[in-house]
Amino acid sequence: MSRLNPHEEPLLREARIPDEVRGYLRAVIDHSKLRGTTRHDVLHELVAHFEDGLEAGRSADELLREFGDGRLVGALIRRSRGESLWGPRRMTKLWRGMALSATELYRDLRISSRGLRRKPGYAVVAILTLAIGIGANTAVFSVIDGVLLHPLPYPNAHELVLPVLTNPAEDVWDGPVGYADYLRWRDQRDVFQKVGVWIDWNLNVTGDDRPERIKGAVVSHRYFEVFGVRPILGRFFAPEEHERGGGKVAILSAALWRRRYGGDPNVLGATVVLDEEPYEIVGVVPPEAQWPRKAEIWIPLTYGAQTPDWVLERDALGFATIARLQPGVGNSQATLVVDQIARRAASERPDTRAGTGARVIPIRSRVVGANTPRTLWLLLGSVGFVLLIACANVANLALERSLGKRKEISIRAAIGAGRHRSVRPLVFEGLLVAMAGGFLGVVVAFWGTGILTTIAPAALVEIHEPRVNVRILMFGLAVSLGTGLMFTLTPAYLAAKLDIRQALTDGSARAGFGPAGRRVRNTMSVLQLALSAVLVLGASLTAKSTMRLLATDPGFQEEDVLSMKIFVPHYAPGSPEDRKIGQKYRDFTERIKSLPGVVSAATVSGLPLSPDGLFDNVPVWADGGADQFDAANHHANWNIVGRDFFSTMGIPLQRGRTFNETEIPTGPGVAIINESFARELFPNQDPIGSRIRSHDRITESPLEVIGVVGDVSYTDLTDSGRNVVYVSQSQTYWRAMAMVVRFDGDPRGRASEVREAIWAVDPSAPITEVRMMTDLTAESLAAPRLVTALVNTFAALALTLAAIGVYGVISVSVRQRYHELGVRKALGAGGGDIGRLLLGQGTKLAILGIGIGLPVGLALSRLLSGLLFDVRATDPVVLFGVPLLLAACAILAAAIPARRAARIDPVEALRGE
Amino acid sequence: MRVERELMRGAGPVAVLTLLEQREMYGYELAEALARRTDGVLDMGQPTLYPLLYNLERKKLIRATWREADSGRKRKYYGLTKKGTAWLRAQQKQWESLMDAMANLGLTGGSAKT
Repeated sequence: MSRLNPHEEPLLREARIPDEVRGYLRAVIDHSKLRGTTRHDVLHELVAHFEDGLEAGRSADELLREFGDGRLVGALIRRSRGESLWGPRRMTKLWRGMALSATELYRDLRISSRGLRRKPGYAVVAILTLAIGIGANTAVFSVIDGVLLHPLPYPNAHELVLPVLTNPAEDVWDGPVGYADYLRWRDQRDVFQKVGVWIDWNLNVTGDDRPERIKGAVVSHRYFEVFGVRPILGRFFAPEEHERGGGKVAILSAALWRRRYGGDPNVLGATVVLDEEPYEIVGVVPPEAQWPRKAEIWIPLTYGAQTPDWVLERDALGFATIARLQPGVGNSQATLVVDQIARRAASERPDTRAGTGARVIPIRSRVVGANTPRTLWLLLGSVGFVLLIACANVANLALERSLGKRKEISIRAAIGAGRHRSVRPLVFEGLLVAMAGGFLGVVVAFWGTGILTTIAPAALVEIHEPRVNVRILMFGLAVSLGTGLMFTLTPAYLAAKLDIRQALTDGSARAGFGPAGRRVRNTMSVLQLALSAVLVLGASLTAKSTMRLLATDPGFQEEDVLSMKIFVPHYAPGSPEDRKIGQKYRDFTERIKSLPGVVSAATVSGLPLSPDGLFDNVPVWADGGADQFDAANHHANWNIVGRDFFSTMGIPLQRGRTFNETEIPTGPGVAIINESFARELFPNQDPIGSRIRSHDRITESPLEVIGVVGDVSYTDLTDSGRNVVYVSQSQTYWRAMAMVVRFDGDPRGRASEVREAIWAVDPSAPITEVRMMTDLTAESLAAPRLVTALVNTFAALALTLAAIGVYGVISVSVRQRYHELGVRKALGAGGGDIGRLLLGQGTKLAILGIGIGLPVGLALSRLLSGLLFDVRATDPVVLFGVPLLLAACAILAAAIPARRAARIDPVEALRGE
Repeated sequence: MRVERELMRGAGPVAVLTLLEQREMYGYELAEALARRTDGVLDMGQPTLYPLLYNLERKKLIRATWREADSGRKRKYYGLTKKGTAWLRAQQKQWESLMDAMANLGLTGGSAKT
C-alpha cells in the first residue's frame, strides 16, 4: 500500500534516524495522501524534526510518543494542507455535486409539475392570465417595432431631414419653402452634405388602355444624390435636362416599372405619356430613394443653372426640401442654421415674409406621423400596466398557494432540508407557470399582431408590415421570465422567512405568513388598484374624446353622397383647351345630374375629410378703406366649388345666397365664406356685400362676399373651424377636382353609372377614390376608435384583474381570521358586523389605491393631451366617475368573501382550531 | 497541566505567532519553545503543531523558507507575514481584555497586570 515516490526513499534512507522512525514517517506520509512537492516537503520537514530531536539528546521512543498515532497525524496533516482549488479530487467532488444538483433539479421540477397537475385550477388561471398579459404586450410591441423601431428604407435615414419654413406667430411649423430658400440652404456645407428640392406633382399616365393617376414629383438637379444610391436601371437626370425647355425625361419607381412595364430592362428610351405629353424614360429608382413617399415618377425641374427671376422674385412657396446632414451634425444645429438664414431673408422682405423662420424635421417623424408614436407608446404603456396587474395577481395566487404548503415547507425545513431546498419547488412551480404563460403568450402575440395590423387603419400603421420577429420573441421571453421571477420570488422570500417552530406548533394551515405576508398582499392589491385607476382614467379620457368625435358634426350630411376624384388632362396654361377645363367639369356635372336617382351633383377642389385639395393658408383681408395688407392677421383656404355644392353636401347656408347662374367668368368676382371666418374677419358686422382681397393668383381683384355657410371639417373631424373662402367654379377653375353626387337613396353600386357618364364626356379622364362620404367619416374616426377600443379593453382587463386581486386578499383574510371571526360571532357579533368589518378592509384598499392612482393618472394624462379631442384631463365627469367605478368594483369584490364570512358557524370555527 | 482542547484551539495559533514574531523558528525548535516557555501548558504536541503550522501557512499568516542550518542540514524556518502581524495584534488585544475581565472577576487571583 505504501508507495513512496522515488525521491522519498533516498530522503528517508539518508536521514540519520532509526528504522522505527523511518517506518513511522512512511506511515504518516502515506496517510496524509498528499502528492508531489507538498508531500516531499512535509516528509522532509518531519525528518528534520526527528533529526533535531535526536541531536538534542532525546530518544526515538520519546519523540515517537509525542507524535502519537501515525495515521491520525497523517489525517491531520492532510486536512491542514487542504487541497488546491483545481486539484483532481476537488474537481471530482465538483462534478459529483453538479450531477447531484441536476438530479435534485429534476426531482424538484417533478415535484413542481406534479403539484401543478394536482391543483390545475391555479395553473390554468395563472397561465391564462400571464398569456393574455404577455401576448397583448408582445403584440403591441410588434406593432411598435414595425412602425417606430424598424429602420426606414433610406440609407443612413437618421441623417435625412426636411428643412421647412415656420411662422410661430401664425402657428405654422411645417410650412412649404421657396425655391430661394433652397438656394440659400444648399450652400450650407457645414451642416448639409446635399440638399434637394421638389414639388409634389401628380400626373395622368396615359398612352395605353388604362389611364392612371400617379403621384410624382418635379425634382432639382442632383436630387437623388441626397439618398446616396444608384439607379436600378439607366441614370438620373443630366444637367442639360434641367435647362429650360430641356428634355422631356422621366424616371420611374421600381414599383411602377414592374407594374406597368413588367420589369422590362428595355424600358430605357421608351416613351411614357404624362399629362398628354411624351416623356422619355431614362432611369428606374430603387426604393431607397423613393421620396416623396409613394412617388412613382420623377421629372426634372427646368430652372436650369440660372434660376428664372420670377421664381426668386415672387419668393413663391410650394416647394419642399430634403437634406442630408453632415455626419455629427444634429437636428438642433441644422435648425439653428436654416432658421438664421430664413430670418435674414424675412428681414429683407418684410412684406411677404414677416415672422418667417425655419427648422428641420427628421424624416422619420414625417413618415411616421406626429401622433402615431404617442399613440403606440400609450398602447404599450396601458398594456404594460395590464401585465403588471396580471403579475401581481399571479403573485397573490402563488402566495396563497405557498400558504397552503406552509406546513409542508416547515416540515422539510425542520428535517434539515435547508431553506433554499424547501422553497425551490415553489420557485420552480412559478417559473414553470411563467414559461407556459410565455409560450401561450407568444401564440396570442402572433394572433394579436395579425388582428392589430388588419384592423389598424393605415393612418396608424403605415410603413412596414409589423411581424413577430426574433427581437419580439426575445421581448416576450424576457417579459415572461421577468414576470416569473417577480411573482415567485415574493412568496419564496416570505416562505424563507418562516418561523419553523411557530409553523409546526401552530399547526393550522390557515395561518398566513404573518404580518409580512399580509403587508405584501395588501401592498400588491393597492398597487393593482392604483395601476387600474391610472388605466381607467386614461381609458375614460380617450373614450370621452372619441365619443365627442363621434358626436362631432362634420358640417355636412354625408348620407347618400358619393364622391370621387377626377383629373382632366393637363394643357398648357392659357391655351384654349386649358380655358375649357371649367366647361368640361360643368359638362360632367350636367351629365351626372341627368342620371336617374341623382338629386344633385357638384364639383369641388377640396373635398371635406380628405387631406388634399385645399389650397394652403393664404392671407385674406377685408377690402376696407385702406388697402392695407396685414399678413399676420387673417388666413384662409380656397375651395373652388360648383354651383350646387352646398345643397349636394347639405352644408347649411346661414346668410345671403349660394352661387347661381349669374356668376360668369367675366362678371364681378364673388365669394362665400364660412361661419368662423365671417366671425373672425367681420366681427359684429354683416359680411354680406363686403369685399375681401388676397394676393394669391386665384383672385387678383376683390371678391364680394355673397353668403355665409356653416363650418365643415376638412382634414379630419377634429379640424372644424378652418377658415375657407369658397369661390365659384364658373369664375375660376382647377384641373384636379372631386365630384360629389347626392342620390335619392343608397349610392352603393351606382359608381359605375357615374363613371360612364364622365367618360362619355372625356374618355381620357382618370377617376380615382370613388367613395361614399359615410366611408370617409368612418375612416376619419377609425384610428381614434381603434385606440379607444384597445385602451378600454386593457382598462377593463386591468379592472377585472384588480377586482380579482381584492377578492383574493379579502378571502385569504377570511381564512386567516376564521378562528377570530368565529370567536367574535360566539361573543355576539352579528353577520352584518362581520361583513362590515371585511368590507371596511376592502374599502381601505380601494381608497389607498385610488388615492395613489388618481394623482399619478392625472400627471400621466398630460401626455395624452395631444391625442384628446375636446376633453380636458381634469374633466369633472371623468374625475368623479373613475374613483366611483373603482371603489364600486373593489367593494363588490370584497363583498363576496365578506358575505361568506358573515355566515360562519361559530361552533364549527371554534372546533376547527 | 495541559490546556483543554477547546481553549487550545483559540490559544495555539496566538502562541505560535507570538513566538514567531520574536524570531523565525523551525518545527522542532518551536515545539520545544512552546513546551519550555509555557511550562508545558501550551505544549500542544507535534500531532497538532505541524497541522497548525500548515494551516497558518495556508491562511498566509506565516510563511516558510528552507534554510541550511549550522549543522549543514536543511530546516524549514517559519516567520510572520504582514498579514500575520496584523492578525496577531488584533488577537493580542482580545486576549488582554479577556485577561483583564477575568482578573476583575477575581478568577486569576489578582495577578492581573495593569
